[in-house]
Amino acid sequence: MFEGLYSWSAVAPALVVLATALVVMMTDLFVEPGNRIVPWLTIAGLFAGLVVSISMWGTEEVAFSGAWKIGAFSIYFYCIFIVAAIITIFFSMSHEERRGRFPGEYWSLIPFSVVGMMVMASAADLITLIIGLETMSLCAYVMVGLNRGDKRSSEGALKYFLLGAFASAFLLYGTAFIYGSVITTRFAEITVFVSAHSNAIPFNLQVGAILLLVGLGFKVAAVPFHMWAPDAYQAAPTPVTGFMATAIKAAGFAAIVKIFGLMLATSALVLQDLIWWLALLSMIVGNFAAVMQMNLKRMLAYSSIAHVGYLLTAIVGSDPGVSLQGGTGVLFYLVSYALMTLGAFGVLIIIGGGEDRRETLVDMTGLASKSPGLALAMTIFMVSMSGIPPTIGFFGKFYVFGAAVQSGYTGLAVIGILTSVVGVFYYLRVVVNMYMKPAEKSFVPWRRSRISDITLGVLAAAVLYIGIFPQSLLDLARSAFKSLF
Amino acid sequence: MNQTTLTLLIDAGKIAVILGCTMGAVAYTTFAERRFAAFMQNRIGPNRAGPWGLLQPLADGFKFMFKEDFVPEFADRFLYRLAPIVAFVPALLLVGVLPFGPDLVIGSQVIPLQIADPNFGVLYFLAIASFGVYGVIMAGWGSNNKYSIAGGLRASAMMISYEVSMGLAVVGLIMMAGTVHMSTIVGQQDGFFGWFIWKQPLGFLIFVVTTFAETHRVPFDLPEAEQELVGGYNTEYGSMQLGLFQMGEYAHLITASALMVALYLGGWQFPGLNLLENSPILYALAGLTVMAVKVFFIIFVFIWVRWTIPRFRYDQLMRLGWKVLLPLALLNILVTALVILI
Amino acid sequence: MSHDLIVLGLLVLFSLALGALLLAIPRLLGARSSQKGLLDIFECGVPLRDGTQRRMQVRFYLIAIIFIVFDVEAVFLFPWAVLFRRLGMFGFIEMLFFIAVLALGLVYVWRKGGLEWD
Repeated sequence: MFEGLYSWSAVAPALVVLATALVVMMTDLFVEPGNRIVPWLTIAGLFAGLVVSISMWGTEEVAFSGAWKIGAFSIYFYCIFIVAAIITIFFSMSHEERRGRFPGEYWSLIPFSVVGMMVMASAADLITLIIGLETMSLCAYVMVGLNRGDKRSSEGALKYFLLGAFASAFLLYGTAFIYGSVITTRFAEITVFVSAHSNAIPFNLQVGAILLLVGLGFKVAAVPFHMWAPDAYQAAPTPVTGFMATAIKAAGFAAIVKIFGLMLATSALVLQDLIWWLALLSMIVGNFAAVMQMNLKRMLAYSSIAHVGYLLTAIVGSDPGVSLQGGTGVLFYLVSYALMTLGAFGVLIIIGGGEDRRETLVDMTGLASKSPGLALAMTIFMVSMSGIPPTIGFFGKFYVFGAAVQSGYTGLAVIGILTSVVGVFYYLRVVVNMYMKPAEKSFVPWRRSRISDITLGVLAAAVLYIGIFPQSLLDLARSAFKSLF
Repeated sequence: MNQTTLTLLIDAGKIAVILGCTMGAVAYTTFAERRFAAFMQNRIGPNRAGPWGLLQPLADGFKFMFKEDFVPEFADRFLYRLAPIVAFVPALLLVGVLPFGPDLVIGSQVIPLQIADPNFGVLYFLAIASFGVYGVIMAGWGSNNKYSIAGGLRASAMMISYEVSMGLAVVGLIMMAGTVHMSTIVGQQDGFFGWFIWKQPLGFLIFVVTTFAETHRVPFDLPEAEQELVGGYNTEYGSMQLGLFQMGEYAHLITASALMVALYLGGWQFPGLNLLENSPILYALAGLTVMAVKVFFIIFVFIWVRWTIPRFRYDQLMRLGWKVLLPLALLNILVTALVILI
Repeated sequence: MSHDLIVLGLLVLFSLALGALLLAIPRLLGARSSQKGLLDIFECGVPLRDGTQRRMQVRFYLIAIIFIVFDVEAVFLFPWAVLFRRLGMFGFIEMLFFIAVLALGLVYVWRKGGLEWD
């Protein structure tokens, strides 16, 4: 009676992570607070999820009557989410040693939000997508507000929550409009409809697409929907900020690639012009506002807005029928961005601590003499972020701007490169502070934790390694994108 | 006169009669409660108005009518005025789907002894029943009085706590019946051992307990605990507005008892009743009588409990709702599923 | 079906009319007095102390949230229960999973003390 309706194998990776979240939540209830078994259990479960995901590479399956599609694309994203989550937990453990304990729920919130992201990455239906997005966002709202005692933190969390809820309303409304004109929420059917009606797109579909763009624009913090991002980034505990900037942003882009890079990728939609503007504004506002920031978390928040702009340039006008470069570029860039951003936040976690928050530019002065290894790692991440070879960041930018040029948006690519030059200024300012200025504040000696040191080392090595040999990752990204259609 | 108009007229007549009977039943339930209370406490009770005090409910009703109708100075006029209506009307609406007896056949006209028999019967009942909490919270907030607000909050927290278990208890029954259609559920309970109480003993138990809470009956009358809250959410009310609250409560008690009978105790069915099937009018009347007797029995149990069991403390009440009834209701669903599957 | 709805609508009208009628009677027949203190807020016979709109215990809010969770669960259970026999083993396992997740939620709230009232 229900053949083809459900399939355990198609949801196996998500189920493993969900089971992890539940087990961790229950374990936390029955062990004394602060027991180390809880984070390790989370890591073990996430690792199992990673293994299951990778073992499914190459399979492709549509299940739940077309609402769920697992393939190379979803698995590519699963790996990003899970690896980012594992690294976040490593960093959280060393963050705990300096800043006091996280509540026990924290460890289960991370896998819960990963489940939401996985649902987003394998959604083949707008409703499934929204369910995943909500699951992810609800966890994120809680995680941002974990510093409950702190006024500014509560303010940022509340801002994030209110605007996020608002954005969800836009998404739902857009979905309703699209359903109203296409009478379906399945991606595949909408794609068919759009290409069949490309010379006469119904008005409702235009409106629905724009509302979707607004909703997803909020979630990934594209200008002009970025106002929550700096406050929320600063409010959240640093490991959470890193997680938000990488995994949550990647999940948002999984949806954006599917919807705007593929399903609605036609110049017949007003939408594509709007994405152009979003990309332009994000690059300009993100980069110039980042120059003004003295707080490194805020600076990275604005820089993440700028990176959203770069990512959007690859999506503007990319026609997957003509070239795969746009989508491939985005997928490649997301990995590169995740590696270097996690690394940068990792350094902030290690130097921050105690009563003093130590997250401003001044706190970085003289780091090179205090801790050369840490300074070197930070330098690699900063260089990569500004897009200088031989780092992964260079190839990321190369591919996304290349895609823009190929689809005829040379102007946008030029603006992108020019604003990246602005980026070089504020990224390298951190390096200058570390190496060329004497320490302005005396450091309280901090306890090093081996876990976070190793993690940082691995991240820095990955940034360099892929920066020199990008081909294999690029091939993975291309086959992942190809699996979408 | 064509058939549609006739049907509508008959329906309107049925509604009028059933509402009238409900109001009458409300009046005499109050009387019965007072007489039983007196009996159980070895008192005499109201016996002056009319023979054996039978006119007492009328006297009570007239007293409400001649009292002054007012709105306290600082109350929210809109909510204050609306609350009695919101408490009273849903309680009456509950009679809408209750089956009172088999079809009454007069000539060629078939009259089901039920106002409406929609295919969402049980859901209608549960949905309308949960409206009651709005009246309570409106009264509490609208009165702008500490006791009212405390009573209203307590009442709503209690009602929603028990509503969950009530819904889940009914789920077990619906799994057995495979429908939420009222008359089908009653029709399935053929013969004494066909009653759902034998197939759903745990569900029935949970349902009874939650019904006590939903109708604010002792031992769950916390919202009106007069020793601590004066009168609870209706402290500021007087005149017929207070009357509506009380009538609504009794109407809810009667309809909830009738639902209990319909769902678990075979409704109007009784072993041997189908011997009368050949004379439809007699059959219908017998069915009505059986239903009335069963409902009265349940009401009697409610009254009996009231004068037997003391009130729960609030924390005990919440503990019972969330830590005992809710897990039991989930367990009931699980066991029912296993029994059906095996 | 639609006939049922019409009849239920009639019932709503009748009940509203009955309620309105009952409320109207004391306006016509009821006493009229302007006793001093009648319109005051009741406070056990003493002058009003403190405002009425004060902070309430957060637990009421908590209970309301937990209620929403479990009531939505019940809403999902109803259609499943109606079709239970037809869904068979598949339906049972699916719902077992659903209920198990929610039961874990209950365990969580329980252990965290969300159901305590002291």
